[in-house]
Amino acid sequence: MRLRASLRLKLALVSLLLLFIPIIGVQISEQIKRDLLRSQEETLLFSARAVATVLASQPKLFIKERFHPPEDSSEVLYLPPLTSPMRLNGQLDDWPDVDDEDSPSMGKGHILFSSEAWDPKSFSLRHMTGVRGDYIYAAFIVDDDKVVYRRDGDRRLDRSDHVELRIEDKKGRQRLYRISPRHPGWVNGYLIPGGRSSRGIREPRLQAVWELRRGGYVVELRLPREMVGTKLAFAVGDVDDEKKRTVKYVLGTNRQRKSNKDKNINDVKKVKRADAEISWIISPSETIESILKTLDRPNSRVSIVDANQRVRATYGELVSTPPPDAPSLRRQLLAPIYKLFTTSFSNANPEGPAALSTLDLDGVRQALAGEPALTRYIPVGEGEKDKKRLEVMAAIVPLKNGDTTVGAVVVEQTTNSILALQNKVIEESITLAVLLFGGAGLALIFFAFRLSSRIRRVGRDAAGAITSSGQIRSIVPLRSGDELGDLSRTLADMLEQLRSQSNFRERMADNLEHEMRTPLAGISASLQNLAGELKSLPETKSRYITMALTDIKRLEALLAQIRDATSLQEMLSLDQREVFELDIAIEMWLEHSWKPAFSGVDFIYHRPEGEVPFNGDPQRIHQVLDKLVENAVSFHNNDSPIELELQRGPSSVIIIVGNQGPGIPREMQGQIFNSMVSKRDPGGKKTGGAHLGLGLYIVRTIVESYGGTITVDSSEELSYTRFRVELPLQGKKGVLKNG
Amino acid sequence: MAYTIALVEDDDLLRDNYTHALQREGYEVHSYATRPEATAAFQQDLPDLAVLDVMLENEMEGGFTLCSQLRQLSPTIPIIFLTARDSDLDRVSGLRLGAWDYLSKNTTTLDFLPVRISALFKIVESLAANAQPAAEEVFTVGELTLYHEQKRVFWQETLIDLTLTEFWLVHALVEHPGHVKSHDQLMAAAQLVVTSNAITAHIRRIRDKFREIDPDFNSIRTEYGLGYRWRTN
Repeated sequence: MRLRASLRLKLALVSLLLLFIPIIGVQISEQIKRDLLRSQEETLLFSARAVATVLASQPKLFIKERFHPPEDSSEVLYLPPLTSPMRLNGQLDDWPDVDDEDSPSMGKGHILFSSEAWDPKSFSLRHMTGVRGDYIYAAFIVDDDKVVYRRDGDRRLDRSDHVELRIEDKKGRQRLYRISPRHPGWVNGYLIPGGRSSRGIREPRLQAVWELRRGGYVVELRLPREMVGTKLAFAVGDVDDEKKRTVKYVLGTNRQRKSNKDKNINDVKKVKRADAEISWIISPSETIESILKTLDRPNSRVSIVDANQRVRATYGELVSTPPPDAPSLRRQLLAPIYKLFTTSFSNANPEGPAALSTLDLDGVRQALAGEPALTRYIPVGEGEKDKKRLEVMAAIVPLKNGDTTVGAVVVEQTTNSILALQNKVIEESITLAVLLFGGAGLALIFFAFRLSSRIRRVGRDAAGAITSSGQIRSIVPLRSGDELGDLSRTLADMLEQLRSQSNFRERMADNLEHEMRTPLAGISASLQNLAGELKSLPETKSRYITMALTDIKRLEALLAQIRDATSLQEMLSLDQREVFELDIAIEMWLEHSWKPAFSGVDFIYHRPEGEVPFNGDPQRIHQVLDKLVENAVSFHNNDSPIELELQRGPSSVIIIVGNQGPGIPREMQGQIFNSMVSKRDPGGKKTGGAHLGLGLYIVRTIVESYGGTITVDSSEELSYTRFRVELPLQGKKGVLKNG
Repeated sequence: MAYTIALVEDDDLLRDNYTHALQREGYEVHSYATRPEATAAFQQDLPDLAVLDVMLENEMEGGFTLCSQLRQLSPTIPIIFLTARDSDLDRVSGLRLGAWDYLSKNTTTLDFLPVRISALFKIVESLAANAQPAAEEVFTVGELTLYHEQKRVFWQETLIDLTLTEFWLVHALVEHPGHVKSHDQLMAAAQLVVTSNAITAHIRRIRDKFREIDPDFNSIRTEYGLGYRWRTN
């Protein structure tokens, strides 16, 4: 069976095209995102250049902040900004990169003193430094095969494992501090006056915690920034012999003099501590940060990196977290759909100022080589968080002092605002699509329903315009001005014309019959008078009068046929129904009506067992079968019988009248029940009677008035025709008037 | 003395034809073309019998009007209607204008009109004689009593107002109660040549008239559309 797609289904499918709207929305938002990213890049680059220009206009600043790259990186002590709050407890987990094996370790180049050839297995260390707030922090992870503490009462601080700090204070005075604990735990530093004096003065501002660890110890110390001017150096001294308590090695951050470097490393006695220079400290510059502050850009972070890729100043925060919107009902409803299309991102701040590791090093290197760079990167550790993305966009331009590249300006911004915008665009397009889909879809479906119901109405009108009894009803056309209205009006016009034609035909038949009857009666009366007057007319001449009278009667019979057909509907309403045995009735008709009428024709009658009572006007049923039998006889092949069959169905009776004969052409089978349609040869005079093609029309009208159906099954090839009449047992007008 | 017959018919040729035919039967015929003409004549002199066309000129029911005028002048005068439309027959029967019979105008009218006229005159004569009907003239079947001479039918001792045609049909049926009378036999008995439909219509009207007296009247049986039978209990 062919699938029937109704109009409303088709339109509903078409409305699915609305689903393209969010897809287009996503496309557009992608485009917008690209454009916004590009413009953001340009803005960032512009900002970075502006910062670079401002800074370049103050060349003294670079000197003051020692931007010029030193010949040897060991000349400076870099104090990077620490991002997390520090607790002085000997636990190093608050230090960034604590497990990083690349953190500066002191080796050969840092030997300030040694009493014998340096053995890394006996003594080596890693150190970390940094600045947070007003404090400078340092931590030493020392691998020492033998840890020696200061003895109680021993006032010398260099006769055990100790930490040394050499400071040039703000007044330019060089100071030496030593930390030498008696036991693990909290310990203060001591100022060693005069540099060499073995006795120390307790310095409470220099605080440290000393903790043992496997293979050595850890020292974490803190001192206020105000104690330090521009130079600072750390050193760690190792004492392994508890008896002699001589210093075995001293490793320090401060650089050896060149002269010392060139000497044999084993010639230790010649290395004097005073000879060691104190390194410049390099730490985030408050001066530059205050400049950056004046160039503040919201939601962005500006960092200044020197030629050694050290962050020298940083200002601003990457994200300012807006309070999240209270999710509206719409957002809650559509959230699952939004999630399919949008990119979620983290609103969390990467904490604190930029650490070196958080910067895009490749970009910085490119800038230091003199080329501005634009990069985007996902900060370490950010990618996994809640599957949310924090992407940082960075514009990096070289910072020049004259022709020399002294550093780089890094302006960073998250792409969150763009992602937010993109998500907003996507969300809005989805919302729009949902609304449109809901609205337009409903409208389309409504339209489809309305359209199809209107089409159905027109169809119903057209189908119902001709009643089962063949009458034409006029219809009320649709009033709308569209094509359907036109169609409906055309249909109404057509039906109206058809109706008036049909009425005219019926009236004409009636009028014709009426108007012709009187003259016919007149002619007949005249002929009869003539015959009366000429009583002695010879036989030959009176025959003509008889012939004329016969013809007149034929003419009258013809008129009666037309009248009966046109007034049949009226006559049917006067039918008197009664219950009678149809099986017996057919037998009676066969014996008394058809066999005498069609002598020489064989009839075969199949009847069911038992009686077949039927409620109807026997004369009408007789009329129907009379016509069908007459028809069958007219077209039967000689010597073939006419077959009559009566069947009793559950709620109907079926009468079949069949004959073997030429059959009815297929194209005519649907029409033969209409009036004035006959397949009889127009010139044929087989039965001698007049044939107007009304017989089967009358049959159909009667059968339909009984609520029954009549069908024809005929084949020209197989030479047979079978009319099948089915009449419901409970007739529509089943009023028993007689009997 | 010859009976006078008034013929009112608006078709000139037909009127002439019928006039001549009736004159040849020995009647004195006065023919009129319009209702006023006939009304005027009836005021002067009443005919013994009137043959009226239902439709006169433009008056659809001119014949009916004329009939009721005539009835006022004489309650007993026999009236025969000629109708062009079969549907008028129902109205004649329904109007109860005291018409004694009706015929449709067709090619067979002249075959049967004289028969009816003479039958009606016989009834008039019989009624005028006012004699008790002879025993052989009375025919009784169940609750039906039929006076042959006067063409009267009583059902449960109530007179059924039948036309002549209807009387002949009833007579044919009760003559041999229980026997089926085919359409052709009934037509012959009723001095008619009509279609089966017309016979059916006559029978229907007869049943209606009986049922007016006795709603349970059920003596005329249809025999499988082949004919009718008078059923006796």
